[in-house]
Amino acid sequence: MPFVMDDSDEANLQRIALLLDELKSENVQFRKNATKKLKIISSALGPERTRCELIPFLTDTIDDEDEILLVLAEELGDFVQQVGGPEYAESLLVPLESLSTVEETVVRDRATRSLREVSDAVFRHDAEKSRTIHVKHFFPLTQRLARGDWFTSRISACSLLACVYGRLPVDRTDIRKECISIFSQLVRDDKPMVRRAAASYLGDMSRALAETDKSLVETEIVADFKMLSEDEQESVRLLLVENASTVASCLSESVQVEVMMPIIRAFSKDKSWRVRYIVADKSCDLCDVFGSNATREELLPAFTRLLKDGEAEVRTAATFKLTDFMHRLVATEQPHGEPSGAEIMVRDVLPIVHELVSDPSQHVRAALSANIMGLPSALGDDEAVKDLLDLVMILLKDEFPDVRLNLIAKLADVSSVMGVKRLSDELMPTIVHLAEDKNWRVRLAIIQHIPLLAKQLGREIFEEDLKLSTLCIKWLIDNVWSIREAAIMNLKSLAEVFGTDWAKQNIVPQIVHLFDFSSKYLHRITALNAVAVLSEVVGAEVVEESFISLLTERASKDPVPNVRFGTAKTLSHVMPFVTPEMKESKIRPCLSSLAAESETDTDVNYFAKQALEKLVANS
Amino acid sequence: MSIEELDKWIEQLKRCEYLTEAEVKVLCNRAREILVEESNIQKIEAPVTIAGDIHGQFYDLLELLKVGGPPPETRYLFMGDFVDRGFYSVETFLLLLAMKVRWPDQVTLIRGNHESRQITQVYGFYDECVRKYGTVNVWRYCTEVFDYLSLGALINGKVFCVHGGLSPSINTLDEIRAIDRKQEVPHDGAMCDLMWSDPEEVDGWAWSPRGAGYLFGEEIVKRFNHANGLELIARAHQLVMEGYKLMFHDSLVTVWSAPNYCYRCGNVAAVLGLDANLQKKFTVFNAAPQDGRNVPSKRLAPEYFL
Repeated sequence: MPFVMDDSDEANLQRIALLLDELKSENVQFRKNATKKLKIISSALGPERTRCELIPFLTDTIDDEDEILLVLAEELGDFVQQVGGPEYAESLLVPLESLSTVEETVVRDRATRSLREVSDAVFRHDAEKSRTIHVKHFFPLTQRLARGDWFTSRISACSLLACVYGRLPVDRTDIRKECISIFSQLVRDDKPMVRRAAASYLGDMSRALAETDKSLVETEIVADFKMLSEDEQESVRLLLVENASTVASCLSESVQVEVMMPIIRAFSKDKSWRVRYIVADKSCDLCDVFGSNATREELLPAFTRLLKDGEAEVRTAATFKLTDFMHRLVATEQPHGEPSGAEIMVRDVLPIVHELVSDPSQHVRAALSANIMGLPSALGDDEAVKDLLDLVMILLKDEFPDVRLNLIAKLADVSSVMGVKRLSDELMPTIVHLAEDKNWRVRLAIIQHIPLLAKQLGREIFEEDLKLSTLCIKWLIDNVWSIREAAIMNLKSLAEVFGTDWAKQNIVPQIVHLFDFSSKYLHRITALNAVAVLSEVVGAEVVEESFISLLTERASKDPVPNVRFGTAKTLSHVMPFVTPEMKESKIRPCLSSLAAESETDTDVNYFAKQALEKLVANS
Repeated sequence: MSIEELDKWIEQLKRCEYLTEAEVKVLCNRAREILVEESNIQKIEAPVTIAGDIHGQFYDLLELLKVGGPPPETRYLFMGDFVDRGFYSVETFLLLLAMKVRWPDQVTLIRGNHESRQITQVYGFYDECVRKYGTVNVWRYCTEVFDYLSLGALINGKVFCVHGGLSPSINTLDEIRAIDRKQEVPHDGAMCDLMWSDPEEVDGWAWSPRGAGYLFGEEIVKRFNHANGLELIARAHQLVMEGYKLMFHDSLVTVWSAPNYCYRCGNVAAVLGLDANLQKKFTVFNAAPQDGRNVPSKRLAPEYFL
């Protein structure tokens, strides 16, 4: 056993001894648990012996279970204090370096992340001193990894270069240059895995270089970017697209236009659909970096091409960016004598949107229905908006429920640009149709929009539309519980919009009817729940006149116990809305009989007693 | 364990967060106390909603409750196979059990062939418990509850509910009542058959391709229903693409409540609502939408020290 313990604290000693045994146990789970508690062990040992004994021990006996290596790599990332602070951080680099070379990707990634965390800790502590540490320790480490025979270590080097570069002294141009050249070599590595790693860190590298000298990005990184853009592996090109906007943001406009743009254009026509997919996905970021002119001249044509792409996935990705891209287009500067962004949109994009409405892929249509309502505000032009609303009506009738649902979620936007007349003439029939959709989530989405529509239509039109008001009641006997609940909340909202009188005439009698004439206990319970909810808005008079007798005389004597305890629950809800006399003369006797022993069902007893307690507390 | 605590657990489980090992132990002990009082054939008064296999599809169970309504307002009978195959057997079984303990008269659970030590070690529940809790204790507590679950249920004396089907060694309901059920599901015999058999278009009895239980034909059902004064046998156990299937001139029904079974079969699910007069109403539902699911909350294996 390599450790000699102080005997000052017996219990502590025992615990540490146990942990150390665990660390060497045959059982993987025990070793893993002990590795998670490395900090406890090192605190007991103190910083010096952690450096001189624990860390070397961990390095020498490096485990063969990836699961444990992962935990070790993670622990070491937050171990600077344990070894005595930033001055001694280098002692952590040895085990982390060897962890950065292992076969298992997650372990390697975690180890390099921990190396960066150690670098961060050192840098935060004293930026100037940390530069020396980076020259003496981090740079050689990265160099060794980059020269590793096995590709795994070279991958790890890719992820460290940007971080190390930024923390080297500015005047050490020699090693800074060396970093760039190492990165360049990695970009040209034989193994695609290494090139992939390099590609994914191009953005970080550009940012690190640009911090001191932007021109370095143009002379060094752009060449790497260009090189990788011709890589035969689609996975490399794909990562390049993801990094394109970051790299471009570090470049002057002329290099952007002359060098980067042709590459982006080529990517938008790439033979691999995955690459085109990422271009579509990143199109708005690219607009932001490349600016007005490029958006109009280059990125829009690329974008419209992607909207018409042969692969449905690409069209879906582009369609998801439709609203965002159009707003960027509309915001571009309008050169003298050229059409405005909105005009270009009508000319170049709307015809494609027309085609997308009947796209063979349901996912493209679903993406469109989620985005189309962002377009009117970009358009402004009334004619074009009208045209767009025609498309909306078609999408609302789409056979695929997600397409309908996505649009219903935007129904507020639709009705606000539509105007009352068109709303009631054209949208309402569609809504009524959707209200009986066989997919209950579509029905639910519609119900949730009814109060809003009611507000926009006004009481008169709402009442004239018999179908709609009938539906509001019909939803109460829907087969699906969630719909019945939503129907109750809808009635409450309508009562709030149209007032107590309206509710008294149009809703209350229907609820009472529902209770009295339903053979299904679940519908009678729905009626009770409606009573509970509506009591909050219809006023004491209606509650006392219409609801109390229903509850105390009929519902409390229902043959089904679930309805009887539903009655007790409902009574406790309506209590606050009735007079004290009513409570004593009607509610209390009713609850007492439900709580009595003559009532055989225990659940009814339980809820009646609960309600009685509330009655006492309230009076 | 107070009612408030139980309500808290139910809320927690509905968010797909599982209970601690100690809480599971308390819940399972209480469940056993309730279940031991129940008969082999638990009596239920209609109206009631009947559900079939769930198989650890937790989010689809939530969907079922959204469609059918939550207990206690809606009374439920779940006909077994709560665990295995799906990703959330622990959460599924614990939620059902917690609801059972909270509302013993409103929730009835009967045993399926997967509520067994042997089967759960092969089809996922055992591994899930070990993965989620780091020890086998939770699996042990749950399987001990399995032994106490009723073998069947009888609604208004007219509808016999059982997970699998009938057995050649059983002619009357009283013979089922006489079984000593508090044991692991045996490899053969009456108790095994009730959980394993399937109805089929055969004459009389036939060997089952499952290797346990039997296939039984219309004549067998007719005779059994007549002898016991039954109108209907309701059972689960077999995937039916439409969620339910009536057979043998409506004398037997299969109810299946795991939509898109194993997350790939593409079937719809159903529950069967029986009203006070035993009128049937099937409600069909789809799998829960993908975005409603969260990744199971990570909880590390119990600490070895401290």
